[in-house]
Amino acid sequence: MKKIEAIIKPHKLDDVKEALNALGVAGMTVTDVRGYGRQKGHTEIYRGAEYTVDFVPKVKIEVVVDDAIATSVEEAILAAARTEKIGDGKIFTIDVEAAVRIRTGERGPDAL
Amino acid sequence: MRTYLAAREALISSATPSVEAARALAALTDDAVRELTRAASSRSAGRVAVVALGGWGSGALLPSSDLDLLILSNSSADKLKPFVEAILYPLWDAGLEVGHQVRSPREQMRALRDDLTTRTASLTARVLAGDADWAERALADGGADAGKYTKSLLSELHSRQRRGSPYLLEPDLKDGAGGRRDYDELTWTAAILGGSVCHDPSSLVALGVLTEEEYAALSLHAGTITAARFEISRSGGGNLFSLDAAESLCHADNAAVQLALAETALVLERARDRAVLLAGLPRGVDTRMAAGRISSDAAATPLAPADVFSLLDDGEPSLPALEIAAQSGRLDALMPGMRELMTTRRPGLGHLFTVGAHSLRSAVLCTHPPAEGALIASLESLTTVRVLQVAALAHDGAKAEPGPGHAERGAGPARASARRFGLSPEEADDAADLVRLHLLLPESATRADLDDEDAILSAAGLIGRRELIAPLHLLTAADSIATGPATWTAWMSTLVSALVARLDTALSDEVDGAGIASRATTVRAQALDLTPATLDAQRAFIEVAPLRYLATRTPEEVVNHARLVASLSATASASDTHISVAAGPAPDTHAVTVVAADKPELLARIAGAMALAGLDILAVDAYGAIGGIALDTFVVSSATRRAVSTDTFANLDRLLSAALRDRLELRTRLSERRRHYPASASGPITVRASSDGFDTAVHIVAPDRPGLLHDLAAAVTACNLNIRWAKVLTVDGVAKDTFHVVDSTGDRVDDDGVIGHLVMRLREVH
Repeated sequence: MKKIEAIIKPHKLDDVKEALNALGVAGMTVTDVRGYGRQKGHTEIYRGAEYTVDFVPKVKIEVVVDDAIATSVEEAILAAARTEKIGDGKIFTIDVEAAVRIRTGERGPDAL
Repeated sequence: MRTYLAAREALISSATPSVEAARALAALTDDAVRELTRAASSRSAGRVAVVALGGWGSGALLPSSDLDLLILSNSSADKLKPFVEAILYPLWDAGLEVGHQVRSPREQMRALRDDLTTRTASLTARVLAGDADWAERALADGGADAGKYTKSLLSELHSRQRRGSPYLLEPDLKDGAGGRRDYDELTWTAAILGGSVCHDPSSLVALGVLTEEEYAALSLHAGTITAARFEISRSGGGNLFSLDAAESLCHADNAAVQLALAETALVLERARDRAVLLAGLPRGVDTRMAAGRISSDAAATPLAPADVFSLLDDGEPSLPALEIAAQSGRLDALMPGMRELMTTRRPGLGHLFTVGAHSLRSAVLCTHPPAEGALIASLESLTTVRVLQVAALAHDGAKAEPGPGHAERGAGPARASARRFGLSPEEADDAADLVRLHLLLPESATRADLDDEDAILSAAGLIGRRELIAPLHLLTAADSIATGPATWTAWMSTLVSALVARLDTALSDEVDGAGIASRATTVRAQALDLTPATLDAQRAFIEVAPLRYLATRTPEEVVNHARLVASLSATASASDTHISVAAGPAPDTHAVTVVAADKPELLARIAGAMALAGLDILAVDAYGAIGGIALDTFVVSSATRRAVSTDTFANLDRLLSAALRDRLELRTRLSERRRHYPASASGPITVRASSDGFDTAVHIVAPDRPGLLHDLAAAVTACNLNIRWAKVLTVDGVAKDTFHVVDSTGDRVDDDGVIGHLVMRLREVH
């Protein structure tokens, strides 16, 4: 099993969700996050004053999927979240040792 | 006890939740304790009585209630122990929660004076068994003692902590404002003022602390709350009327529960005021109420606009007074339906309060925003706060009726309310617009690409006027904060602030985003009308064409461009172009439209090819790429004495094709041409850069010469920047060019060093 974490632009959430739904990914965890990478924040000018946004708002999506579809999930997120501009985000894939569905006690891919 | 427990179980499981059920459970338990007392009587010595305290003393028990027992005795503890154990052990063994005290009358009196909770529990006490006359006298002494300390006891009661608000969607039905303890306080007040034990607050009517109507309503509401608590208690819940409980309870009418809490809290406020007067105490800490400015009296006159504004100006400390006024119906003349909204429940999206209470919170918060730079800037830019305050009061008014579209539906009533508040017709229109738009910023900030100019211009088109941005920003923040602490986060604040800054730029006079959006929308609709439904590719171009492009074109031009782009898209290779020529706007001029697959230096290549073809570029509108296809329109005339002919454009087509295939040494050829055709004008070149929310604009004024546009566009590319759109006009030999440039990723150029380098390179062109 793989855990796939994607940091994406907020307005791309619906597109990514639809793309993952189309792949049969049944659930996901979504968190509002802020951070910076190469984008290093930006400035906004409003009413003559300049405001520095050090931590840019993003959305973090976390899904745990079977190894067999992990690459497809990565590619689906990549295609759905890409605007080809700085700040499109990152995808991280991590090995998952175990998964347990608390309600039933099922383990492994059956718990996903 | 077995009989009791079986009967108790049957009652709890089968009774319809109600005051009657709670009374029946209390009566059943009374009988059980009397039976235990009778059985234990042989073990007692001296005088002894068993007394029910607190809610049980008032004659009502919930399934999860503790049994608060007082065993009064004049015997020593050693002698009494067998009797007490004979009563308590069976109750404990039955799994009941029992709170008990064993005291002599003298010890009980001392305890009453030491502890308010003991005092209030005994003010509703009831003798269950034992030496009744003797115990009744002891309880009466306790009641009379309370009557001696009226002022201090009322003061202590009035400083009682009441959790939350009666307008919470998940209220605490026991200790929360408006809950059971508020009713109990009135019962205790009756006992204190009367100097005797009381089991309900009915005697307050004779004292003038409650009206008959208030007492009747209070009793009804106490019944509603008890019924809800009985059902929650029966299903294993606590005192919280959670949203889940509200969904799942069969017998509780959610709206009735909310109304009961609000009215109980309101009646308590009124009763406290009157009890204080009766006891000769100074009035409460809220000086506004003492001055009669915010009377809780239902018969008081409606609040004047100035009173409401004054309270709103005071901020959050005024909320309780505003809630009381609204629940009393004193805002209804200005905001019809406000009283009903105070108890209207519309749970969802993190809302903590009823609609009316949320609206009041929004109205006080909108002019007291968090100390965030952009919000403070918005606040400082307001010319009046009254429009914003009225809009905040009215923004959810249409939620009186369930269903979608409350923002749109609320605009008309908001306008009418604004007029009642004394605002001008123009201000009333602004208030209506704010209500109509109050969901736009959070929705756009989270769902639109804030780097997409069209998304910003579309939102700007919906808002229409720059003056609405700041109040809309403040209303958005207040609405979110009033919803609940989880809604206005740093995440949301940053997104909304960025959107606000860009909308403010888009709606400036320089950009006229609303005008662009309006014109573009009209042109797009007309162009689509002119394009048959079967021509998918052409319609697709029109659908996605940038608003800036559409706003400067006629529908017919757009349709023509769509045809060119669609034909190129169908056949294109990277070097293909389509050129369309028409008569220009002035004699001896021609309008040339060039579509080509986008590639680096495209504008420079086209401009260079035109110069080599013997054409002077008089004007250009270049819009960057739409779906990978660039579409630039030029107005040209002959650069020489030779008239422009079809051969000229055939030559242009060849030159352009070669330039796009990198088979034409444009710089060398243009340099040669300049030797043969020197500049017709001379003078300095000026270059100035400015930046808005979307891109950086470079304004160039220079004497025209062959190949000037090529050189300028090439200089931009040499700085690793792209021309997002360009506007060029040449009049009397002077070129006035504006390039809107972005970096290689399409973002605005913020780096002063990069902009300075670009300006230097452009100056060097001449």
